[in-house]
Amino acid sequence: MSLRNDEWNRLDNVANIFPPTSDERNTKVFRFACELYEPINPKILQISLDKTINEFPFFCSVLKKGLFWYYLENSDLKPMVKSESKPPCSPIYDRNSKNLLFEVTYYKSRINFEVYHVLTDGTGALQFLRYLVYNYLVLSHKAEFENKTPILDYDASITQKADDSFQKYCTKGFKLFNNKKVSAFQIKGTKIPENRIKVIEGVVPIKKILDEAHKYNTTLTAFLTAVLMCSIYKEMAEREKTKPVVVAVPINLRKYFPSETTRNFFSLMDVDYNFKKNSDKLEDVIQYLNENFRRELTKEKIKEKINTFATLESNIVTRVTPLFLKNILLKLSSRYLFSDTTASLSNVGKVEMPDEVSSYIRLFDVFISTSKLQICCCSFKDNLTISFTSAFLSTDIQKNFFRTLTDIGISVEISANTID
Amino acid sequence: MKFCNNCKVNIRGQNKYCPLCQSELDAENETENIFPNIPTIFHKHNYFIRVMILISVAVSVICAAINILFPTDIWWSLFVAVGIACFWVSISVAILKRRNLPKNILYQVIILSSISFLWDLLIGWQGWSLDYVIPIICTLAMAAMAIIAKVANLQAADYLIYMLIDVVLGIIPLILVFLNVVNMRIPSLICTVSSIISLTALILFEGENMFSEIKRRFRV
Repeated sequence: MSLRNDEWNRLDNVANIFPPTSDERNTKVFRFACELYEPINPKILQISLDKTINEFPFFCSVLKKGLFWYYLENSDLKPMVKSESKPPCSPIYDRNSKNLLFEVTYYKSRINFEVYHVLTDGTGALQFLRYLVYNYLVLSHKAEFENKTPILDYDASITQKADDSFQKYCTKGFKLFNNKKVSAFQIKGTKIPENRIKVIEGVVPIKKILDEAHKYNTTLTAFLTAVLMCSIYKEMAEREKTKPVVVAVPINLRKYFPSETTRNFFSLMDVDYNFKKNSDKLEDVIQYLNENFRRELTKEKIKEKINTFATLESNIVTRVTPLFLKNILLKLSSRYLFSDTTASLSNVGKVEMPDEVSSYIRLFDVFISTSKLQICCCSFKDNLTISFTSAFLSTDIQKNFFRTLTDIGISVEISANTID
Repeated sequence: MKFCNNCKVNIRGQNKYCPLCQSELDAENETENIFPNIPTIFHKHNYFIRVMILISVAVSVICAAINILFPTDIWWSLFVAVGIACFWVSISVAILKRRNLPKNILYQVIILSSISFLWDLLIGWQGWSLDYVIPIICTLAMAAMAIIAKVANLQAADYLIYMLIDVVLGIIPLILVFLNVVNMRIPSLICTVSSIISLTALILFEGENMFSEIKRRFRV
């Protein structure tokens, strides 16, 4: 089944922010990739992609401009599998040409799914990639799966997948701006030429790092955030220490509101820590974050947050402002409207695949374009892949981060892209 | 797999230096690359445009200098400079929108109409822009869009809205005829007649598509 050709969708609540704020440096493109133990066969991958797109017809959309809003129009363009030939997270949306908002590429034994954030978030992209990898493995190992086809546990209708969950769960609230506005510490340094990003990935055993987090009675996300904050702190100059380190942590709203959507359904939580006023010991940072996470991650708090943006979107003045003006205003105000952050950390969580196909998969990883520094992580089987993306040439923060892990006895396996 | 003694981490790939601390690694144990090496991209096509811009600036400045050396009644060098600027406005839009022909045509209608109107004003109002240029451009654009839509087999969503805006623009000359600002009426009337015929055809053959297109483009 596919959607009708003239079918169109409005952008979901958060997606509205991406087109005016994405540029050559911060492309708002992220990559979810899966590495197998065997080289990729492009022909089979193409067949798998065709199959997968039938399950996710919403992904075959192009972004168009109306007079007041952007919208997604269903397109009959066919996605083509290509060999990886561009730097990771290169721009996908080109306002002057009509093209799909995602790309499937392969390199050696890895399948990459790169997507513009307007279309989906990490969880949605993961569902697509899981289907793609599943279809690929079932097709390329036909003989083995002939009698017993493994089952992928994702039960959502096509309309459920294309559902705008913000519309469903937001109510009108009035609390436009965050009450506290802190000016965050900003990482400085030479940026990588040609708007490229540095990718450094570390694979660590999930059990070891979870044990470590549980030692402090905290969650993996809070533990990693604390390690990141301390790693940034070590690179701060003395006079900059008055400023807090602010890390933005996306919250997967599907955990709080039932939804099977593959579109954006997340919110951002900012955690800040001032090293001048507080101790710089890891355990103290963890305790502080623990409190912070517990306070912020309540259904009421989260609801308040999504209502804020929904109110902004449904405001009559916002609605009748022509798109080009809206874009200029959003671009200018994004620094004030959205919080000022030092870095971001996004934990996509556990990737699950049917047991029968798992043995063919080496790892999953995810990372996103950034103009600053960002961590994305996901776990598969016994491993956690922690991926740093950075716009800066210096790798000191990454070094501090992974050395903290190796110092407490966690083994790390690093892979990185090279920049000439 | 390589090992960095300083960071105590294993390293995959062909790195000669540790990605974290940049210390040198053993050259042995060459493993496969993790990411493809992508060479720096050189923008060759930009080179031609840069040369053209340089020539444009040079011509304008040299003309101004000659004009200052040998003064005439009118500042003809100004016309050279403005003319070159107009050319660049039109060309840059044409290049930017090269992948979307109907949109490109509509933008050219608006740009060329404005330019001709301003030129007409600048060199003492004679009315040729309203008499001839604007109605002819509008009519040609309508015809061009209709032909392109047919030949390239464009989908409704790819051209309808631009065609519609051009058709609506094509009715303006009629208003100008009634307001008596037009001396030569034939081009304006031809333009309006084609507009009305095109609009009727659009409603008759693409009516449903047209209204859904208007609805999504103008959603508040």
